[in-house]
Amino acid sequence: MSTIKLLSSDNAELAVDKEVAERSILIKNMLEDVGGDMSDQAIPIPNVNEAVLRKVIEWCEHHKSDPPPPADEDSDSRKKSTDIEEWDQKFMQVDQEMLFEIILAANYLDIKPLLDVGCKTVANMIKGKSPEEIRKTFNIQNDFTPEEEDQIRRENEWAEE
Amino acid sequence: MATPMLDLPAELFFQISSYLSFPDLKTLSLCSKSYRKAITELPMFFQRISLHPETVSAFEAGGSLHGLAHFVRSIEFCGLKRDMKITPYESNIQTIDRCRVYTSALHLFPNLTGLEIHYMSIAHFGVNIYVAIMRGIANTTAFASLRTLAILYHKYSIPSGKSLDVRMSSYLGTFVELSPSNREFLGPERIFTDQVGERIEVGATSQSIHIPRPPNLEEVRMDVWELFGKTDPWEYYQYQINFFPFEQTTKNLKRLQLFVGMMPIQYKDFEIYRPSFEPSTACIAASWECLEQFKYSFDSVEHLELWIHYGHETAFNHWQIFRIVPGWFPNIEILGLELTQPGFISHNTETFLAHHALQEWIISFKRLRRLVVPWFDVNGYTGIYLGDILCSLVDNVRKTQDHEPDRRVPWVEEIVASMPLRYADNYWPVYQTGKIESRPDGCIINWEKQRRLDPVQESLGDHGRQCGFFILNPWLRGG
Repeated sequence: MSTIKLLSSDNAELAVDKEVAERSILIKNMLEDVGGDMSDQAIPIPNVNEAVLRKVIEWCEHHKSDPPPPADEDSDSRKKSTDIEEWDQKFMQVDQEMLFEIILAANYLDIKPLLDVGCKTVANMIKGKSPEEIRKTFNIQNDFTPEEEDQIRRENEWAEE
Repeated sequence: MATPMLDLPAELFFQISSYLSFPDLKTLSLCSKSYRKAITELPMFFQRISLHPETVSAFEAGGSLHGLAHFVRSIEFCGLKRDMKITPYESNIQTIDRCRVYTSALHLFPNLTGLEIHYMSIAHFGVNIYVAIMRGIANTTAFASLRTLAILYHKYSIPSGKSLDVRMSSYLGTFVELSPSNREFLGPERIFTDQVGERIEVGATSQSIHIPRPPNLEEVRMDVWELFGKTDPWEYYQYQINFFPFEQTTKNLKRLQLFVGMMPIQYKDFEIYRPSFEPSTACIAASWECLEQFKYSFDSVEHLELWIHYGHETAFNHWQIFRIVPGWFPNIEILGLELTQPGFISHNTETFLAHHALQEWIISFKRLRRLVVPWFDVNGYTGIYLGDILCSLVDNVRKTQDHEPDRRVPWVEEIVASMPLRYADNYWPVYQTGKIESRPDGCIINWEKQRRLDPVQESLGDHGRQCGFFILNPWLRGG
């Protein structure tokens, strides 16, 4: 099996199975464009540092034999499920900085299933919590006065699903 | 990086938000000013709003939500129910005030396409309010952009045994003059004194009041009260008013949901129902000819829901409706019927004729895919029988097909049991079956009605069981 090399933003070179790297649609398209032979040259991934890139590769490794995701489901249907399979849940048990970096990397590298898992993880950190709990989780400074907060609660009542 | 979530590109924040429930989004918006901003700028957050008196000022220039008005697509007028804390008349004035303020605020929302108005009023003002709202809308930009309109009216009574005009001498003590702005909003009106037959005209006395209809409506839900109505909305006393959008502004109309007949708030008002035509022989002869004149063409309508409620022991009106109305709707694909009155299920000639007329209608369908019948009833028994009757009509049709191939009916993939529309209470037993996710309202549960579910299901037999579940009224679900 052929391997290719990826070059992270902090200049680390990582060797990856081509099949694994092609979970990234960006890389897959790039390889197709150059005719597939990149064995001697590292592909630069300027937006992703080594630690994050290793995480992403770990995910791609585990999911290399996944069937392709179903063609675009209706993306605007609300109330989507936030179920995440067990391995992915464990995989996403990282600090928040890493979590958001993974999301950004998945977006840049165009790995939709990983992006979905990342966004679902964030959503699950919000679901069912009180404002105070959410602030604590994401280290958000409350800059509302009590009156402003009351006003917003009222305004929110006008918004209908 | 204090707010890594908000530093994400907008489309990623949007994706995260798409996994959150509406209550979760609201909670998130309470966390900080920047989160508030991010949430309110999600296109769906203020897409549907309920309008309260304070809402209007918030969306006006200088208000806290002014910059977000362009997100609003759909508005529901709120606070128009009977306010039990004040007298019926004062409550009615409050409703008029609010309708006026809401209607004049519609210009704040340049992308408005949907409007839902559910108001309660003493009978005297019911039609005035309707006409005033429609005329008010005609002066806004929403008039041309409106695609869906629901306008429904519930009457409430003033104390028992009295006539319905608050200006009768017995009510002078509580009479409050309409403010000039309300008078202007309401336009001309007709009032009644307690002298029998004496009427006083106030304002303009034109015989016919023009009611503007938004020209591009696709979905309409409204009270019509009278299918074979007069053109003058005030020709009749009180109830007998034609609400039907009979003007030729229906080229885009796809879905029509009509409530025909008086709809009381309480079942005890049943006796005040009035049939369209008195079922006397002379009247039949006269009306037979007369009804033929009512020729309308709603070619574009694919989805028709008729809620027919006449408090009469005969099926004369149903017979007439099923004889005349089918010709108006040649292209129906989905038909929902609710007939909640005793006449249609009794055993007399008119009932037979009404059933026959309905069966002929069913046979005449060219494109029908779905027939929606009541799942259970409002008043204790009709739903059971109606479901049964409709199913056996369909069976009859299927049987005759074998013998009469030229009357082959290519339609009806399914018969669907639905629930009555206007009694939100009746959602409960269906909710109990787990077939809908949540109750759309906060009304009081009527435990009594639950027990009726099983017999209904039984009476629908295989038809009832094999069909999926379909809620006749997705508006109530906020779809």
